[in-house]
Amino acid sequence: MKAKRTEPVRGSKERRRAPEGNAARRSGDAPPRGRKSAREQRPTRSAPRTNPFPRPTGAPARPKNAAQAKARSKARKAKAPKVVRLPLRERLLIKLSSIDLNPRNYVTRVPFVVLVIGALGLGLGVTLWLSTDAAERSYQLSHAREVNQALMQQKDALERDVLEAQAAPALAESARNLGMIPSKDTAHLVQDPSGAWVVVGSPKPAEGVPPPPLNTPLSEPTSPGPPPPPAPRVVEPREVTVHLPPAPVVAPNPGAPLPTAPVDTTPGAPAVPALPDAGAEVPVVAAPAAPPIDSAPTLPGPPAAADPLAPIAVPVPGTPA
Amino acid sequence: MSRGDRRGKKPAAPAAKTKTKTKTKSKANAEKSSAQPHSARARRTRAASAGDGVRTASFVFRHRVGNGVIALVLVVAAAQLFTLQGPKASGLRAEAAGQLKVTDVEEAVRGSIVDRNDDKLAFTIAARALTFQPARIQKQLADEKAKKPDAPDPQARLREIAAGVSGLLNNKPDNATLLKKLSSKDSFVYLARAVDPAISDAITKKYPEVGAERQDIRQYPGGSLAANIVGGIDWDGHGLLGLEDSLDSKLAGTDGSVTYDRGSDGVVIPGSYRNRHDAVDGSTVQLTIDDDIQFYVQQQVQQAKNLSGAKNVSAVVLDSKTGEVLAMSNDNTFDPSQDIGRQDDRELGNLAVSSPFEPGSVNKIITASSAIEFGLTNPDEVLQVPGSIDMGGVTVHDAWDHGVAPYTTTGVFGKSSNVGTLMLAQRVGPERWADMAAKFGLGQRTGVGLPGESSGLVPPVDQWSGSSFANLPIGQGLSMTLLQMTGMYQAIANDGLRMPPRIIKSTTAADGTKVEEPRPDGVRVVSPETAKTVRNMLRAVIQKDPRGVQQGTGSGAAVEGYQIAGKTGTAQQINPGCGCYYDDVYWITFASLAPADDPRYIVGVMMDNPHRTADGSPGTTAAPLIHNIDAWLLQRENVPLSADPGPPLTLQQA
Repeated sequence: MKAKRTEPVRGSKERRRAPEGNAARRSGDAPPRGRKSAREQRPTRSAPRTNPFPRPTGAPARPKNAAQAKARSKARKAKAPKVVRLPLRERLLIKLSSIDLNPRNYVTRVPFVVLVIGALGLGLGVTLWLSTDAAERSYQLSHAREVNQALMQQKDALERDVLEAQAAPALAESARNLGMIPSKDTAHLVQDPSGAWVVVGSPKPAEGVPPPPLNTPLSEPTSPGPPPPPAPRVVEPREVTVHLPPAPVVAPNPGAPLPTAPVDTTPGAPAVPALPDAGAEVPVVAAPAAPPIDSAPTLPGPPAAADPLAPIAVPVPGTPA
Repeated sequence: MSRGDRRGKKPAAPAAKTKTKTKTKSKANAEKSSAQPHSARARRTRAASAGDGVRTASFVFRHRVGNGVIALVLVVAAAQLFTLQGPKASGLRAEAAGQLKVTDVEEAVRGSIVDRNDDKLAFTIAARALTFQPARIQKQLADEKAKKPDAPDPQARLREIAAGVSGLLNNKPDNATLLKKLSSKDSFVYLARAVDPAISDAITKKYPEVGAERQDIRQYPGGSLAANIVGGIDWDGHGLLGLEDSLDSKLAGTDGSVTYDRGSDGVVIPGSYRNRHDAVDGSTVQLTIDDDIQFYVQQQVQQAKNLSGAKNVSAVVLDSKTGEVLAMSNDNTFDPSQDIGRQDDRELGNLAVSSPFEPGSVNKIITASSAIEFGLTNPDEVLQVPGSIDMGGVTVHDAWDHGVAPYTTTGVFGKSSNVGTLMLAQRVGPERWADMAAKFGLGQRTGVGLPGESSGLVPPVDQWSGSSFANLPIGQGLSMTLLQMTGMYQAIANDGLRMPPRIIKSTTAADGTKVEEPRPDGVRVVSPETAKTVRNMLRAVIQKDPRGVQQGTGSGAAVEGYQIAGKTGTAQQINPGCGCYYDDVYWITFASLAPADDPRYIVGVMMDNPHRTADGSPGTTAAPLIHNIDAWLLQRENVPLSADPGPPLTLQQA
C-alpha cells in the first residue's frame, strides 16, 4: 500500500512547486485542492477501495519539446531553496552565546524522569559499592578466621608442651638429668619458746642414686612375628575352697620329685630352686645347710597371724615382732 | 510517512526529482490511455497483490492445526501439573527431602580431669587423622597420565606421597606401611591418627591427595601418673579404664548436629540450615588427689616393690579431716599416653580399691578402740599375757616365743601380741566387736567414686564358727581393701568420726556451673576421747628403745621431730593348693597417722609377699616406705613440728 502511496506524495511535492499542474497530478489519496473540497476533508482510510479509481484528469502537459523541459527544470532549480551553511567559527559562537549559565533555568528544564533515573542510578551504584565492600570484608573475615584457627592450634600445641614439661614425672626426669637426688629426712631449724634455735634432725647431704623415671617409653613394636601359641586352657578351678585344717599340715609338693633320700644327704642345693615357695620349705630347712641366716631374721610364723620381725639382731628373747 | 516529513527532506531532492520526472512521464501515458474508454474486463480485474496470501486455504489449515497442537500441549501440561502438585506431591516431596537432606555432626570436646590444684591429669586437644582414598586417587592419577604424558607416573607419585608423609610424621608409620596402604584397593584408609594439626596442614598442602579429618587426642601429660585412677580411653575417644570409663557420660559431652539441604553438585542450598543443636562440651572433673603427692607416692611404691621383691605394693594417702583421697597408687601402673594394647604386662586396674586382702594385725585397732570405748581396759592396765591362747578349738600363738609376760594394754598393741589382743577381744564380745567392725566401714563399699570397688568380706556374726572370733580380731578370716583399711585409721585420726573417703571433688560443666560432689555424713565410730587415747597408744608401735624392751613393731617409720602413730600388720596368705595358710607368704600392711598429736595425713600401704623390707634390707616390713612418705608429706606441706616427742610409753612392765 505504501508503495502505491509514495507516488502521489512525490507528486504532491511536485504540485507545490508547480501548482499549475495541480489538477492533473492528483491521485486517489490526495485529491486536488481546488475541486471537491468536501471530499478532501475526509480522513484517509486503509480500507480497501470500493469505488473505482478516479480518472486522472488535467495532467500537466508534457513538455512539448526539450527546450521547454529544460526551461521548466531550470525554473524548478531556481525556485529550490538554497542551503546556507555558516562557517564553523560563527556557528560555535552562536552556540556558546546561547548557553544559559543560570542553574535555575537548567533545573526548570530538567524533567522529573531524569530525577527518578538519577536516583535509581545512584542507588544502584551505592548498592554495588556496598556489596563489593562486603564481599571484600568477608574475604578478610575468613582469612582472619583461618589465622585465628591456626593460632588456636598453635596455642593448644604450646599449652600441651608446657603441661607435659611441668608434669611431675617430667620435672623429676629433668632433675634426674641434672644429677639431682631427692633428699630424705631433712633436718628442721626451729625456735624453742625461749627463743633459742634448735636443729631437729641431722642435716646431711643427699646421697644415693636418683630414682628411676616413672614413665619409660615402650619399646618399638617389633615386626609382628608368628602369633604366640594360645595359652593353655585352665582346667583346674582357680578358686579353691579354703578349709582351715585342724593342725598345720605341710602340703606335699606335687611338682617336685621327693621320693629319693639323697636329697637330704647331698647339701640340698639342687632341690631348693625347683621348689615353689609353698609350704614345702620345711623339709629343706631340716637340712643342716640353712640355719645361720634363716633363723636370725625371720622365724616361720605360727599358724595364726604373725608380725614381721624387725630386722634387728638383738638377741633378747622378747624382742618385738 | 506524512507529507510534512517529505517536506523536511529538501536536500535529498535532486535524485528524487529525476526519478519523479520519469514516473511523471509514465503516469502521463497512463492517464492519457485511461482517458479512453476501458473494456469491462479491464475495469473488473486487477493484478494480484502480494498481501493477499493471508487468506489462502493452506494458511487456514496450518493455522487450525497449529492451534490444535498448542491446545493439546497445554492440556497435557496442565494434567501433568495437576498430578505432580496433587496426588503425587507428598511422595515426591519426601523423596526430594531424602536426597537433599544432610546432617552434619559437630563433635563435643571431651572434658578434662584435673587434680585438686587444677593441674591437668588428662585433657583433649584437637588433632587430625590423615585419610586417603586409594582406589579413587589411583584412578585419578592414571587418568591424568593418560591425558597428559608429562603428568607424574601414578606409582611414582604414590611412592613420593608415602615417602613425604612418613618423613613429616617422623617415620611413624614408616614408608613401607604407608605405601602398602596407598596402593591398596580399598576405597578409604586412615594413614595415621592423632596427627598434630600443624603437621597435618603441611601434609595436606604438600600432597592434596591426602585428606585430613578432625580427631581429638587425649593427652596425659603425666604418663602413668595417677593412671590407675584416671584410666584411659579407647581409640574412638570413649573411656576404657578407670574414671575415664565410669565418668564417660559426664566427660564425653553431647555431640551437636545441624541439618541442611544440598544440591546434586554439593552446594548448600541457601537458607536451608535447620535443626541446629550446638555441641555441649564435656564437663571438667576435679579430683581430690594432689599430683605431687601422687607422684611421690607412686615413685616410692614402685621403688619399694623393686627393692622388696614383692608381687605388688600399693599405697593410699587420705586427708585426716575430710577423708579425701590425696594419693592412691600401685606399682607397675600402665601409661595411658602410650599404646595400651601393648601394655599387657602392666597393671591396668586399681588394686587399692579392687583387690581385698586379709589385713593382719592392722585390724587390731577394732579391738583396741572397742576395749577403750566400752571402758574395758585402759592403756596402762597390765595384762599377764601367756605365750598362746586356746579359743574355739584353735590355739593362737604370738609371733615370738614368750612365757607369761606382763604387757600393758599399750604394749599388747605396740608389740602386736595376738594373745593379748584376743584376751581383750573376749572382754568386748563377738556382737560388740562385729558392730564396731561395721562402724569402721568393713564389709561395705566406701563409695569412693572409683569403678570396680570391692566391699571386702566380713563374715556375718551369725555365720561365725567357733574359731572365727579367734581369727577376726587379729585380722585373719576377713578381707578388706587398702582404702577401707586406711579409712579405719582416718576415723581414729578424726576424733572418732569416720568420713567415707571420696576422690571426686567437683564437676564443672561446659557453661561454667560447678557442682560440688555431695559429701557423705560422717559415721561416729568412737568418742573423741577414745580416739585420742587410741592415737596415743598407737605411738607405741613407732616407739624406739635401744634396749629393745619398750620397742614397737614399726619403729622404722618414725620421723624425727614429729609424733607418728601407726600399726603394722602381717597376714598369712591362703594356699589354694592345700586350703590352708602359707607359713612364709605374707601380706605386709602398715597404716600410719602423721603427726599423731594433730593428725593431718593417713597413709596406708600394703605389700604382697615381699622378700625384703621396703628399702631392700633383710626382714619384711613396710616401715621404711611409711617413713619416706610421711617424712616427705610433712616436709612438703610445712606441717609444724610436734611440740615434744610425746611421753615415753610403757609397753612391758619391768
